[in-house]
Amino acid sequence: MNTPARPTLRCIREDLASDWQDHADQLLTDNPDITCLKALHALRHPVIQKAVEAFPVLGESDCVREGISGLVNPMFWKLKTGRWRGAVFEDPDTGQAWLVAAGLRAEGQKTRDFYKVFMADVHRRGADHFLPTAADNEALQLEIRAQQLTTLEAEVAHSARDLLAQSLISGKAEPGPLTGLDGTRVALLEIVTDTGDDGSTELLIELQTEDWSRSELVVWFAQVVQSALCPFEDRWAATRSSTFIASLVPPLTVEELKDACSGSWQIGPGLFHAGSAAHVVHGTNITQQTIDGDAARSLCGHWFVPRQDHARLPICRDCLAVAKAIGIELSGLRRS
Amino acid sequence: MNTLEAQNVTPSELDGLQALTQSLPAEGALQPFLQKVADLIADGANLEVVRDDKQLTPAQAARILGVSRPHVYKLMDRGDLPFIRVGSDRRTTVAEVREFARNQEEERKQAALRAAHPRETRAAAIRSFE
Repeated sequence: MNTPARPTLRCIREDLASDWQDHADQLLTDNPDITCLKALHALRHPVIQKAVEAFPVLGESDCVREGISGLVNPMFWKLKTGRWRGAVFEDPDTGQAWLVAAGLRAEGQKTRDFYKVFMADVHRRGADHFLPTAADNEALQLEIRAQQLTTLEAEVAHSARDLLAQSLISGKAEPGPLTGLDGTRVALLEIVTDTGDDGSTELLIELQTEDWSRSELVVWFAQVVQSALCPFEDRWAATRSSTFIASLVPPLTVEELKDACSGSWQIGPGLFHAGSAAHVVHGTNITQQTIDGDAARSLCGHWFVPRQDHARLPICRDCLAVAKAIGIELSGLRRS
Repeated sequence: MNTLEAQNVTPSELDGLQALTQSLPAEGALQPFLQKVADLIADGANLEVVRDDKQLTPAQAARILGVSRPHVYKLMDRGDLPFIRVGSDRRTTVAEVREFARNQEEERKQAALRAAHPRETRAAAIRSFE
């Protein structure tokens, strides 16, 4: 299984210092998890996008290919776009194309032609310095798994809404199995609903891990199910003992239930809207927690990662009640 | 008489409590507890005395844990929260609920981290297949 032409890790980290079209993508290049986070061929840099256009997964490209002279075993293809030049290697075993080096074209007499410099470098350091490494191939495998997971996430969200619909009809649906990337069962998902006299619906999900070697996948599936049914982080209360159980507090209103069933709420697999209330927390650590993305415990007992402008949000009533009861003066609160 | 309103405690009463607290052995079990009580009253906190074995309905347990009532029943069904039967309903205790809540602190923190960092949570799931 191949991807369109992809840059090697060495190439994105050493050769592509400027001209990024997306600053967030440039920041990703230093992230060790980069291949789980974004497909490398989708990184927005002109020379990467040109490589993708010239070396797609299937079929021939319209671009005329020209080898870099002076290099035969292995051979490298020239790549040109604007002021960028690149060298592309096609793996003879797999057919996967790799952007192995890139640089700016010669400008004026003080700089040398990129292809000549590249040829000299290959002769001097050996081709292995540029060819994809074990880490590059591992990154490729991770990226392929990330793509497969995208398909699975859609299936998990679909089964969650399916079980919800069944549960609403019969009160209780038979638990449904969730499978991993290799098709084996990893967990059992149960959804229980209970509609009260006022029309509101209690919603509870239970996830029973069946394959403990895949517990990180099960943890992610739980989040995918929660966000598929109700993408508001502070509505969910979860516990984990013999099984993972999460319930909605307060229950869904009639209108909310429609959104939960249709999935029209969903903002993306496993994604949540951040909390809707400002909580009262200890002032000593909050700045560092905000910078580090670390979790803080509020006075009312709620755990959250501070990442919003709290001044825009109403203050949590439970926090205020606790503050009043134990007699602490609240500082740093701004009320509009 | 299970509740105490801090504003009804006079300064001389508070002094008396402080004196009693100081007279107890510092390494004993009661002294640090009474000191805590005295500090809380001095801070203006209202206090309530609750026995550890006080029974709670599933609805009360749910409110304390911040989960739904069906959630509490599910925990009981799974054997994660001990309970006794009272007729057709169930009762647990303050001590059991407190113990359960304490064990869930780390999980709640981790859940907040996972929700706020979905990309990293997903990356861990992908890596688990290496």
